[in-house]
Amino acid sequence: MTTSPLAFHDRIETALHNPVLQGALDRNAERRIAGRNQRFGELDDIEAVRDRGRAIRLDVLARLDEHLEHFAAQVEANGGRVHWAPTAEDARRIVLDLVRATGAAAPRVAKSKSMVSEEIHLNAALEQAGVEVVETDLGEFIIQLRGETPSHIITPAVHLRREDVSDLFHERFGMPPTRDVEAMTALAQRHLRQVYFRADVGITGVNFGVAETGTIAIVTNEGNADLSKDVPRVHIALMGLERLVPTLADLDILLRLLPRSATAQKASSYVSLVSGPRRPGEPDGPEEFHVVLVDNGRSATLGTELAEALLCIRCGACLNVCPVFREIGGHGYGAVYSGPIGSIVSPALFGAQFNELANASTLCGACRDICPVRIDIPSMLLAVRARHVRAGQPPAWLKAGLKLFALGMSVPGLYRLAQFFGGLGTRLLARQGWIRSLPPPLNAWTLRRDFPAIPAQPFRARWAQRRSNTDAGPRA
Amino acid sequence: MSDPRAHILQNIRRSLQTAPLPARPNLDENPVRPPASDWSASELAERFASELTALSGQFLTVPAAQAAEVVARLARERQTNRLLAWSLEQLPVPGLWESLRAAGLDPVTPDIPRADGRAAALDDLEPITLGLTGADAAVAETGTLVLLAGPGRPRLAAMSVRAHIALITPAQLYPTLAAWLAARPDLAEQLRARSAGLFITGPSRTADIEMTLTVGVHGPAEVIVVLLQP
Repeated sequence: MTTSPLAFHDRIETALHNPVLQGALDRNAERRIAGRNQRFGELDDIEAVRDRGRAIRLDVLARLDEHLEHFAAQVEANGGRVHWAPTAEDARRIVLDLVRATGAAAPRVAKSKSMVSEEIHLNAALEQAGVEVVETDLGEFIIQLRGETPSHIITPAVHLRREDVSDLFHERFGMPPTRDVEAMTALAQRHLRQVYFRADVGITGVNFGVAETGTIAIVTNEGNADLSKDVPRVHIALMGLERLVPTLADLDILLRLLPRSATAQKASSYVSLVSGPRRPGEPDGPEEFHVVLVDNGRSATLGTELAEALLCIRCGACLNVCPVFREIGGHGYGAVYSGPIGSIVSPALFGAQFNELANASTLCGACRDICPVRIDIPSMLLAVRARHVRAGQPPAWLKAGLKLFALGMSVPGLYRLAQFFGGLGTRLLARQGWIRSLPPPLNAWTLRRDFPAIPAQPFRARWAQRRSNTDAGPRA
Repeated sequence: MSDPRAHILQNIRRSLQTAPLPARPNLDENPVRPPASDWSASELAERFASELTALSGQFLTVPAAQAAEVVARLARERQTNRLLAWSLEQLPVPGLWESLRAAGLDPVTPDIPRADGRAAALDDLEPITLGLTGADAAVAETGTLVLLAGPGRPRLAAMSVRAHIALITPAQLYPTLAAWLAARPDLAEQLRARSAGLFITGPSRTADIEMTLTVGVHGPAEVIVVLLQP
């Protein structure tokens, strides 16, 4: 299920030594965070809106079964069809059956961005079955042509330079090499226009499902979701089953948070509401509307200590603000969902092989502070680390080391002894207070950072000295 | 797994028995501000215009009687005479189509065949570069147009064209989306009866290549809102 054949440490090394990626990630982080903070500052009740958004999502999770049943009943009452997919495999089969049911000999699919489709590896399954599927979001279009996966949930091609795109368009479409982003965008626009108008089926994701009316909301800036769903005869919408809000008024609250957090916009260019197929008398639109409700581990996650991660509205703000994401980018994680929230969602949905992602965190809490619905990401990262340990995945030396540490910490005499010899040893090895390299296996530390020498005078001694000094004089 | 729906719902119910969900925030302590209601008509128009133009959309205010003239000029400037348009009765100007035809324009409201002929009908619409619609609301806070689908309202008129002209009236201006939702208690019913709705905030845009903003990628490159004064 991992998107990379490399081990986690190798992916990190690769990312750290890619200067193009480093520059792109810095630019992404700085611009997105500054823009998001400006937009949040413009609303004087933004903290109340965040509380409300969190409450709305919590209410949905607390009665997820009822909301889902209501939503599904409304979609069907509106003439749409709801398909329940317990697993990724079920979801792929459902979509493939729907595409085949069009009767087209070589079916063509216009596809709009959907993280659930990435999660279930839909494109590979469709292509294997002889279906031509084209991603229509510009960033997704580019990475599909390159055979890559998204490196950021909002800006999937953030790891590429304009030169990379120019090379790609030169090779694929014979476009003369250029640095003109507008010209490259125009070429993609012309190419994809033919895709919409030739497609048998349009596939989109879902940002929110409104239970009250059985309506789905799709948020984009390019308008590609609209053309993907409005032109072809069949519209299939893939939806993670937790992505509900009860009412249209609740949708309004979350729409105040999502674009401001994701792209520093007051409103995205397009919010498309779909409540069913084309009605009698309407001049255009799809004849069939299908919602595929994807579980793929979500209902099980709801009963675990990672349940709060299901509040996520996929804005990507925690990626932008994360000091680790900023160094290694989305591909570094090797999972469909990257960054702080991805380090919880990936092990929750895809299993224990992704537990190690939770180690790639400083637990600084910036993700929790920026999350529009205030998800307590650091606490859940600790929970994933605990799983990792319980699953017996840490090496034996770590267990032995921690036992030794526990012993030292519980016996004061041993602690003082360790402090004395540790201090002596580190001061002997240090130059100007820092140890810059150590022999294996201790070089696991010094390869990436220096180790400070332990001071000759321990904190306890300094504290005692300070106390006796201040006790002698007046208090500050 | 004979019934996947029952299987999923059963899983959810089992999980909910143990779900360690955090406490709900107390919303009474820190309430969301109610929708603004004290903006004057001119304040609404000014705010809408400034938000839209900040996104490189265009805003015009004209007397309703000059609507056809303005649309004809916009079409001439874009060197086209075909319009993918909402039907006459869906537009806020009586007799507009006749005036447009008199000005040499060719407005088209399609009726895409439901089976045979669908592809040909779409091929006929694809080259049209100019769209003309009304709107259900215009939201001043964000410069957003609200369009609901329905009979006589082709959704492609706002999406498959390069320039989208929307005719709105002063009564359609609302300070916020929340204010419009509050003013339309029938909306949930309306949304069940119609297949689609669309909030449009400025022209289509992307920043997918090196975070460089480019306007006009799949949806229209131009959004021109014409406020008709009575």
